[in-house]
Amino acid sequence: MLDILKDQFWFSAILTVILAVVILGVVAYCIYFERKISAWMQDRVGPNRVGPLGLFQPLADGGKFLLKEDIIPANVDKPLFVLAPFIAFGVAMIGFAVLPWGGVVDLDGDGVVDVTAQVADPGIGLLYLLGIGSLGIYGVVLGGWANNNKYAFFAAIRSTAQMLSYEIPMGLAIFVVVITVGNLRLEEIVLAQIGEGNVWHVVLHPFAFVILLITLFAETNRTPFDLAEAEQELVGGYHTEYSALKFGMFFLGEYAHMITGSGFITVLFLGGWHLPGVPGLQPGDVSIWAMLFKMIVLGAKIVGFLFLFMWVRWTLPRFRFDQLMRLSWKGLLPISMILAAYATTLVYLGKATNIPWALGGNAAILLIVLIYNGLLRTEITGRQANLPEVTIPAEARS
Amino acid sequence: MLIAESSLAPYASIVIVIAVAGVIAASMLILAHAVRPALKGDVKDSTYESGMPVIGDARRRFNVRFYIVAMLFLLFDVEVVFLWPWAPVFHKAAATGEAITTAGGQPASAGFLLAAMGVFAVFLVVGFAYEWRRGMFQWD
Amino acid sequence: MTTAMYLTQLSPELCLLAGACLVWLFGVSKHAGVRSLMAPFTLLILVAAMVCTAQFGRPGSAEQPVGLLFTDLAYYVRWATLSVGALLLLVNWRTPADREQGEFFGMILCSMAGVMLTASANDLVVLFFALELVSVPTYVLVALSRTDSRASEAAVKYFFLGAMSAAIMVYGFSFLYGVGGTTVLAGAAGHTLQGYFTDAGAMSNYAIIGLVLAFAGLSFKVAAVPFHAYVSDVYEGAASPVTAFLGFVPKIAGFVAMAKLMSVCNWHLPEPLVWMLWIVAAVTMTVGNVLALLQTNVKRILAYSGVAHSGYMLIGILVGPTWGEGPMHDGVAAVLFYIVVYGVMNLGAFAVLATLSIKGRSVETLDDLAGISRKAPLAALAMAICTFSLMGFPPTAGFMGKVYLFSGALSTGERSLVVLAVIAVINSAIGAAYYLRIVAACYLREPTADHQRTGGIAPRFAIAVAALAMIALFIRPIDLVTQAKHATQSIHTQSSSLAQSPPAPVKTLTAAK
Repeated sequence: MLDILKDQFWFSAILTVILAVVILGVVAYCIYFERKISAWMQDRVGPNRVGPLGLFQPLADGGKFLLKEDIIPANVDKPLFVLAPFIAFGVAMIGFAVLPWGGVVDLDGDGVVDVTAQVADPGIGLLYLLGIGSLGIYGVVLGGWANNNKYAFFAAIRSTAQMLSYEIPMGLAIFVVVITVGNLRLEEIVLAQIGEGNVWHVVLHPFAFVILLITLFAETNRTPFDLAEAEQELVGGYHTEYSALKFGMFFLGEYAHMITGSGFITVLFLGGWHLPGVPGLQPGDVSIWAMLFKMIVLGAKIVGFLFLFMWVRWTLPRFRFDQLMRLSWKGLLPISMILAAYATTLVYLGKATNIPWALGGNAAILLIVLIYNGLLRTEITGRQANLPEVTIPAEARS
Repeated sequence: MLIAESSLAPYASIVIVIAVAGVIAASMLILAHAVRPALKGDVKDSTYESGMPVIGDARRRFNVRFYIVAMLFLLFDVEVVFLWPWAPVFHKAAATGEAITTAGGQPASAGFLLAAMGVFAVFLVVGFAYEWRRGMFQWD
Repeated sequence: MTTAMYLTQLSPELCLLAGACLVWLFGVSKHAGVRSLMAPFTLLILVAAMVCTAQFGRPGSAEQPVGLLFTDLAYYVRWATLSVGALLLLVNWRTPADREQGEFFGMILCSMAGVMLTASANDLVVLFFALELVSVPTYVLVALSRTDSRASEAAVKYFFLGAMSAAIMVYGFSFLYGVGGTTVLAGAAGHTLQGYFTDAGAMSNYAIIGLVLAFAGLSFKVAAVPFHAYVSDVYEGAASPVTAFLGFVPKIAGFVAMAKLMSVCNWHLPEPLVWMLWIVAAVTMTVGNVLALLQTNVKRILAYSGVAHSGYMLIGILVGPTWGEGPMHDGVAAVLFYIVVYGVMNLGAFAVLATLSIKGRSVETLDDLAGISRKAPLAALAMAICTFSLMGFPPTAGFMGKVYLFSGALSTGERSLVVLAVIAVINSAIGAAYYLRIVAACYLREPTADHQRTGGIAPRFAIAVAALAMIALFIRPIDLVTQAKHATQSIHTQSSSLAQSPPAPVKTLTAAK
């Protein structure tokens, strides 16, 4: 048994199955926690009927998804209608393949490293992750198109424009890490944040971290960027016509996407499975227990991000579409271009991991942005410019 | 295991992941199809427009600005696609201080690589400034 | 090869492209004063590029960069593009709307840079990109040239057909890459396509398919039959100054690319391909002239006459160079000479149309031209000179151009090429009919309405230069011809192993008889 596990291929295969099951479970409970957290923030109780503390709620939800009638309206594009949830869910479930979950492992304790606790470790891991992230757009676009419903159609083009717009600053923010490390292999990116003279990239480039975080919200269609499913305007958005499990698959896909995205940002900026100074979490710790510890740490960081996602969702209101586009094209894109240029310059000068240089540059860029925004008189144009003056009646004022 | 020793090993694992994800998704769809009730009806089959009678089709023209976003995305995403493979090469040249041999067989120092990407970036920034001024990013 | 050398050798093109960026940026300025400076600024960029060409453009023995080959051909084409381009700029001085000046002049600069890169391209990929750099801006120019729906229609037609032709061409290039195993065209060192064709002897069928497709794509650029159908609509839809641009810039790029492809095969094409080009040349000039006879719109007449002129120039491509014996025996030199002459005389004719308006619109039909000699005697005179030149009538450069082209064909002694030259002469006679109708309209008919002058001083200056150049090149063509001659020789000295013996003109035709 152990001999088979020492083969990377079989190790990966078993890890895949375990991770898939774990992620499905986490996704199901994400929905429960989403509801619990929203209830907590709104001073309500939340789901509490199914099992103790409502803990069996996800099971009940799943059963309901499965048993409800699955309506396929008459004038939808049927093959695409079925394909869209398949893509949305399937794509979200393959992103975790390249995340480095627990470094290298020595399974039998003979001092020889046997396998990497990672499903796959291709040289272009980061590119794979970005590509898979972009594929997520197809679920939304195909779903919205196949619906043949005006709400869904508007949602689909909106959300395509949104995801396209935010993918560019995302790519540039990641580029900051890529140029600093000089490698697209995710395990190497983690190792580059560990050891003498190295720190987590969030310390070097906090600005890029923030930009990546914002774009992750946009890419996963989470509030404040959930224009694709803006209930008040677009009913259900791109999944208006979906019901039962097909709707559920979009739902699950969104959370799976969040998990992958959280793992992604953790690996890039927060040291992956590493915590500075904690024994068992260093590159030299290769025992099977260290691997499990590392997995737990990475999982904890991911859960932290998931909480952040939910916290933001129940705190911030949704953007208007023009604000959304302005933020990306006129805000994040130029800033991330400057950041990318700055990081490149640092590498050229040999100061890539020099904290004062990196932080100083980030601070300077932040200062420029603040000054620019302070001086900026945003011109009010278009429909807003023609709105009538709001007059408050005198009696209402008192 | 032959494939495990080749350089394609990571991709074999990725194929397994894709297969697992596909099987899970497909089995969910098939299971749901098997157990769901299916009661057809004219109202159920009609497109949902908040309960109003459906007017026309959803396949209609939409704002040209969405097309512009798509074109701009292509432009800038090509930039990112160029930047990413360039980054490790440049990092290596800058870190070791040695010239990298390019595909044309000529040595390229870190300075040359930086200048080459700089030219590309300048063109891109010019285009960006132009589009900004022309109101391509104006949505309100 | 250091970076600095690379950049200096490319400096004329870089100058144009950097200038284009600046023009685009300043063209969207908030101040009308800045925007109105775009035309003179573009002229300044062209002058700067000329200075760069004079300073660094001379082909030396310096090591050549990858993908490019700076030869006498590149030198000639650079000068031709920049000088005719400057005239075209003068003609287009007031064409774009106030807000679109940046885009318009930037596109002109890009297109010219594309022509110059085509001449120095030494790689199929670079050649394709250069040709697209020529074409894509022209689609935009057509759309920007005026605001009515005809221009938009013309631009869309031009764009779609152009995209199709580019696809055909690059598909052909892929076949050439497939058989040759390299994209490098020629050169002394390494594995090149020219070397492949020299060694391979008989050409494989895939190479023939590749060349046919590549020539088909290039036929669109030079408006040769059967890819001429867009010409009339596009030329009529675009404003006259832009039409003048379309008559020169894509054509010179197309013919230079054709000459390059021919030189890659050592001017030794397999028989079916030669006959294909022969038929294309004959049909192109005939179709162009016959269709031009049927038109009443001067722009359409000139459009179809442009098709006919492409047919004449294809003779030169087919003849190939038999270098070493003077300009009368060199088909490619004749093409290089003729394309410049054609660009200038065509520009003159269209510029006259652009500088006159009638009933609030620009002059377009023969009726509109009626009697302009009373109102604008100098414009009418320039029109007459340019038209006579297009006709190939003696005191003008067009005559010299035709003499070189046809004598090149006759001097080979090939029966088929002699027949082709005879067809061309007959066609010139047909052409005289409609050219004379234009002149007759200018001089012999009574004006139907009052003509107004439009466009300002710059196009008038360009017309004067064009007309004088036509006379001057008749009196003394030898300088330009010598340069063209150098340029063709350089095509062959690219490959040192081939420089020993001059390539024979297409011999296979006689064997076929």
